[in-house]
Amino acid sequence: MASTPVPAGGPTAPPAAPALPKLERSDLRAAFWRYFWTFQISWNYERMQALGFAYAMEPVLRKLFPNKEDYAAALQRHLVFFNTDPVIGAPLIIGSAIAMEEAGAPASAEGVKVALMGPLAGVGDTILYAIYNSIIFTIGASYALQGNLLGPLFAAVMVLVPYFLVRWWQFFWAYDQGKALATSLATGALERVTEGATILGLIVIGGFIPSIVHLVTLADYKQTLTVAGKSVTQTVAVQAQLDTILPFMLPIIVTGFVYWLLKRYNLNPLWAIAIVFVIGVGVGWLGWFAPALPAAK
Amino acid sequence: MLTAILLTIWGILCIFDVLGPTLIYATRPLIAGTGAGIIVGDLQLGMAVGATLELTALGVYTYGGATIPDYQTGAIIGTALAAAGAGDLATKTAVGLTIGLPAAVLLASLDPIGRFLPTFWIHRADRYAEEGNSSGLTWMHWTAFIPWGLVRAIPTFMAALALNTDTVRQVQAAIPQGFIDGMTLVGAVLPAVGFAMLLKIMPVSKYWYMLLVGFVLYAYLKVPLLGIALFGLAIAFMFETLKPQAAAGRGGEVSING
Repeated sequence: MASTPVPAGGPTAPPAAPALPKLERSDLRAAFWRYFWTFQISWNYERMQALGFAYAMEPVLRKLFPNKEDYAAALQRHLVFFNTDPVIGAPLIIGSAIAMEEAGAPASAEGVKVALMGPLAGVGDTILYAIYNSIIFTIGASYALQGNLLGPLFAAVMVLVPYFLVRWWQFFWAYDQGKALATSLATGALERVTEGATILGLIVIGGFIPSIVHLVTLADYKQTLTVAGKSVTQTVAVQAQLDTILPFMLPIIVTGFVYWLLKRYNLNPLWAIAIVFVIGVGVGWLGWFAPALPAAK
Repeated sequence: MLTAILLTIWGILCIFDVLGPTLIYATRPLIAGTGAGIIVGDLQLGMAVGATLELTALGVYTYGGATIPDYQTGAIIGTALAAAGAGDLATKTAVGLTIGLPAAVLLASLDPIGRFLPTFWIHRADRYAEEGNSSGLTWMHWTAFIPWGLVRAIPTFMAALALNTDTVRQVQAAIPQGFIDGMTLVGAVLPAVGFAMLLKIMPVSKYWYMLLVGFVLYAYLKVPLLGIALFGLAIAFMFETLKPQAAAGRGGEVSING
């Protein structure tokens, strides 16, 4: 972040053409809705979100550049490689790129795209998917597994409303901030938000593991005790013993084991799934382990 | 046939949703499976298959355009085919998982095709941009979605066609009960992989004690998940508020006067 390059001929460069037309709020809304409905539908390996970016910018560029050659040049300018988080990142960058095109500083628009797309992709992906989505979808899934339709509905609504608001707000905020944007982002705000989200995420995962991963052992063993001079044989359930040591011990062990495999050996997650699949079917078939203890007979 | 068509349309809508407006994040198996459950008339099954797959896929997203298992199609196919089978909800869910999980993994091989083909569209778009042809550009942008839709629509439709035959029941009859028990266990344990993957991308060694907070809240104090999330939010804000302000933070603004 600190090394954000200031684009050559940045904000203070003389405008290429005298007095570009002013943008109305309706022009901005047109760009926003184009972004909103279609941003990634033409995503491809070569230039990723480039066409979506150009498509969103198009109404604004048409207004700013009545001259056909300038307009064509502007479209080509925004058809270059672009990729960032589509929800936290893209609206912000589009909004500020519009502000800079309007200010007659196309080099700044290109600069802000290059400078911000990487950092915002990292921050946006972490906060939005790894943490926010994981929380709302885990809660939604846990209700769904109890047969409650509110589970999926909860997850859907928690996407519908916050995702919209964060995009709308970001887009217009970035446009209004214009050139001040890069500096205000560089004040460490992004790192603090990411750190806070990480802490929230870890607390929640700590609770999710015992509540969502279901695993108990059905194994037991016979124990012969001498009670009051008489020899008594009783069956001891291993699970009950484990519970007295640490509740939810098996889910923690399995999660820890998979984490260790992924971390230590950089195992492909598909292999982790395959391992759980094979061992799980095996020990479940044999009846050694189950998701839950059978109801008391 | 109608069901197959509806499932296919649902599959296309799901991928459009996440590439475009992201209204409900419909490519997530929880949402895709629930929708498929409504279409095939077994909501409970759709939710159960979708939720089970969802929990194995936590934190698995297409970061930077990476290909991941096609959980969306897996959830739709798994739900649809299991609904045609026999047995109670737990058995059908195990069948849905038996079909859906391998399907998701195998269909990941089609995803790169959908991501590669629009490359041809963007070269046409370059030409239109050069000519300043905005309708051509628009046309390229919208039609570049076709490969994305097809790589999900085709397998969904082909699998859904099997609904009208006895194949599903015959296959299911060949699956021993022990395997169903095993799959039920796998479904309950697979979320461990999801959580492990999440932990891998998080700084666990720095903040490991935060995991204990959540664990104690649930395991000993029986706080519901939403309560844990709200508590976590409060702790996160506290942590960031109480932390001494980093000197680097406001440096840039101050030095302007100097």
